[in-house]
Amino acid sequence: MNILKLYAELQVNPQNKSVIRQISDFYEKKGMMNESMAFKELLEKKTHDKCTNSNIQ
Amino acid sequence: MINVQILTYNNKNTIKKTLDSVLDIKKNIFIGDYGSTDGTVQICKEYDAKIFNIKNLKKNEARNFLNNYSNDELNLWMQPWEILLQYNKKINNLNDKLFYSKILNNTIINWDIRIYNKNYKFINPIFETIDHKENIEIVDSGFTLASQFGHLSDGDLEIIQQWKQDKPLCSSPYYYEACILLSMQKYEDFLNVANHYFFIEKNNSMPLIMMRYYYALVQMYYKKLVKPTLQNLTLCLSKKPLMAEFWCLLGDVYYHLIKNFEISKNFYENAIILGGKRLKNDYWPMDITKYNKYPKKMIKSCEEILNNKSKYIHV
Repeated sequence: MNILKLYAELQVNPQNKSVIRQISDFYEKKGMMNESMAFKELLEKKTHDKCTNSNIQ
Repeated sequence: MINVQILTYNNKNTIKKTLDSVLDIKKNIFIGDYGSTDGTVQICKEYDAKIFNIKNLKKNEARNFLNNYSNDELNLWMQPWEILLQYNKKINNLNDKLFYSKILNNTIINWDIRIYNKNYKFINPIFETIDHKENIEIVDSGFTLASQFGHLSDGDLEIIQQWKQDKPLCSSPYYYEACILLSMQKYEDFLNVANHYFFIEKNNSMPLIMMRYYYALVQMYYKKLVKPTLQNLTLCLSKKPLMAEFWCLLGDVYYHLIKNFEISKNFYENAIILGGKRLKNDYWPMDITKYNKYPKKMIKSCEEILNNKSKYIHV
């Protein structure tokens, strides 16, 4: 898993949940738990926002 | 009690507040004076300070010279425009340790090794940096100081450049030369020296990541180039993904250069969400505006643009 590639993908599509999940996994494997949890929370937020937006539409 | 060490040069407007702030903790005050003519020395004498003429010494030489007058006590070094806001009374002779202090400078929070014993030596001729082994424990002193940005001159740049010539394989002189050039707004020279620093620095250290961030800032705001800005920011983010500063700059690139406000908004949101998770004991510098106020303002602007109420923020 190349972290730079993941960030490059995130820059093209910041809503890409698969990429956010992979970034979270990357930091988890590195033992950077605070970073991993932060991206998990970001993933939840993006999922919640998408559901809310689609409900509004 | 602690020895307080201050280097002065015509600081009569600020030195009194500095000295007042350390009255409760100081054992001795050591002043190294560079030849003040404005009454700074007279003010220091009122505080029973021990005053030394250090006119011909570089900063590291002056600090190390003053260290010789300290016995086994801990020393606190300060600038003559700084004020000690908070301190930890329990600090005493923990001789094998170095201590960080929190430095508040406008909206920037920084951490600096300010408390040390006489066994440590200063190595930088312009900025106070202490020579220590990487694996030594550096702990929070509980001290907080209010500061301002110091003034740098062409003379300081020359001294750093001389240091670089003396130690051509050492990365530190390149780092500090780049910092001085940046503060002097000599951006082309900064980019050049920063590139040399990237080449010579072998550790993926905090200074390297921060230099990449400053480099990205200059590429973004001065050169207005997307690619080098994004390349350097990506490296910064991969190392420190909870730095809101990095996400805000990424948002800025998409806002000001690429003008994709939808993507830009996402990155400002990331600054708030991810930045909010940054650990409190993280000793990296922090620009507190980038954790809430700035990204919120930019999100609002992005939404207005996306809703065709165009209010583009110019920088």
